[in-house]
Amino acid sequence: METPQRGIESATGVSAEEPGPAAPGIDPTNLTRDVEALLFAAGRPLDAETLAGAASYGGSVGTAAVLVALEQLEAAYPVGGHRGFELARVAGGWLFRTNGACEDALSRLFDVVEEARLSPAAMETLAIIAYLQPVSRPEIAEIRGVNSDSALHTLVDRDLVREMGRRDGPGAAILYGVTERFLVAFDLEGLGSLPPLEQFEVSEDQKAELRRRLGMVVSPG
Amino acid sequence: MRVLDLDLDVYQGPFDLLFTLVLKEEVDIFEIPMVEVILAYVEALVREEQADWEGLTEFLVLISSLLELKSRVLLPGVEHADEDVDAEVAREVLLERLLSYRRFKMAAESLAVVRAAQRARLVRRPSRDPRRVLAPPDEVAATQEPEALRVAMGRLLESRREPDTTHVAALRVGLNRQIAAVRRILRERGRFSFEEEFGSEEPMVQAVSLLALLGLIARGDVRVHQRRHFGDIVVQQARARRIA
Repeated sequence: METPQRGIESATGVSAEEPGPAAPGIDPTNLTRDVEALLFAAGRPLDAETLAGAASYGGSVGTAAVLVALEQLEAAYPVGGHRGFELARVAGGWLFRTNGACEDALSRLFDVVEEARLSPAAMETLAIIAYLQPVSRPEIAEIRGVNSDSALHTLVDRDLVREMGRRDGPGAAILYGVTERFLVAFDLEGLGSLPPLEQFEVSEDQKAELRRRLGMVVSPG
Repeated sequence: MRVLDLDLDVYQGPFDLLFTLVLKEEVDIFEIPMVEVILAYVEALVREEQADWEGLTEFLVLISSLLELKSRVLLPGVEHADEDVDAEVAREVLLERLLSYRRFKMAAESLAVVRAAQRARLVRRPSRDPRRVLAPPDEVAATQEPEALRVAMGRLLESRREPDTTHVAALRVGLNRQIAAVRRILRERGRFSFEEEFGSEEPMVQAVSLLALLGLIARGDVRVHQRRHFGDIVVQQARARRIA
């Protein structure tokens, strides 16, 4: 499965490694301060390379140094911690968001519940795209057994799904994939973080029951 | 036969309907009232403003598979008489499609739960537009990759910031202005070399200066000498007339 994330592989390995001497001319305190400011201002996930690029005043700031700064910030703003903000790893980067535990307070002042719901049809279509991307419209319809065009339009309108190019061959069907916004909305580091599809398999009992009710021969063994 | 309240609007398609009937409602296939399923679908079809031909054909495929299944259950003796390998395969295919659909339906439900938990995790909107960062030319120059161009174009369009054009100076040139310039030089010096005077100007300034010169020649205000084609032009005041 394709994952759009970048830098996560290196990020997960960093704690095991020696932090190493920061690149010459870098004050780690200033670097952490700058990274924090960048993440606060961004409003979308930023990956370590982007942060390193932005934080490099004068000399070069190594991605490794930025990852050390990010670790400090993660410790200061842990997900589900005691702060109002949490620093989450989503969509291949880092993102400041409010602590989910603050829902009651937030919902008294803001329309947090009013976020437009997605119909079951749209959710099914979204799940198919997330697991199978890049995937074409006919392939989605094949799985759902119904035309899914309007669901697809809704998802594209909401910026949860985008066109990713066209399939080679006759017809050159448009291929769809999920967006960064999808990964943020569903709290995913990348598509690799989706629960495995096998998890949603029906049980063997249910399968046997299904066969029986459909009047099918129960497979031997 | 049980009476079922079938409302196709509630179901997310034929597979969903079948699953609900067979697993949740625990209806055996010979109990499924085909006429009701078909009528409910036709009613839904009539309500639709636009015909969904793909959906219709899908429905026909599904309903005929169901009819085939049901007829075999109702007529077990006949089924036994002509055991049809193709029909067996077709049923397995239908079951496989049902199960495949089921996986994604369950995945969708699990995603919906995650999304609901995310609703209080607010992300603030950036108060400033991101600085325009164009794709490095190496990445897109002479690329055959449409996706790379799309991304580059996207970056360009996404930035609502006006491009910085302060380094581009507005070129101010006009015919009257150049006529005045030529006259002024002639007033001061009597003659001049076009190459020396205008050779280092922008091409547009040179061109308009030449037009100014042609206009002045036509009026008989100046005389010009050019030793060879494309050589320098020496401009001097016409002797017979005074330049105003």
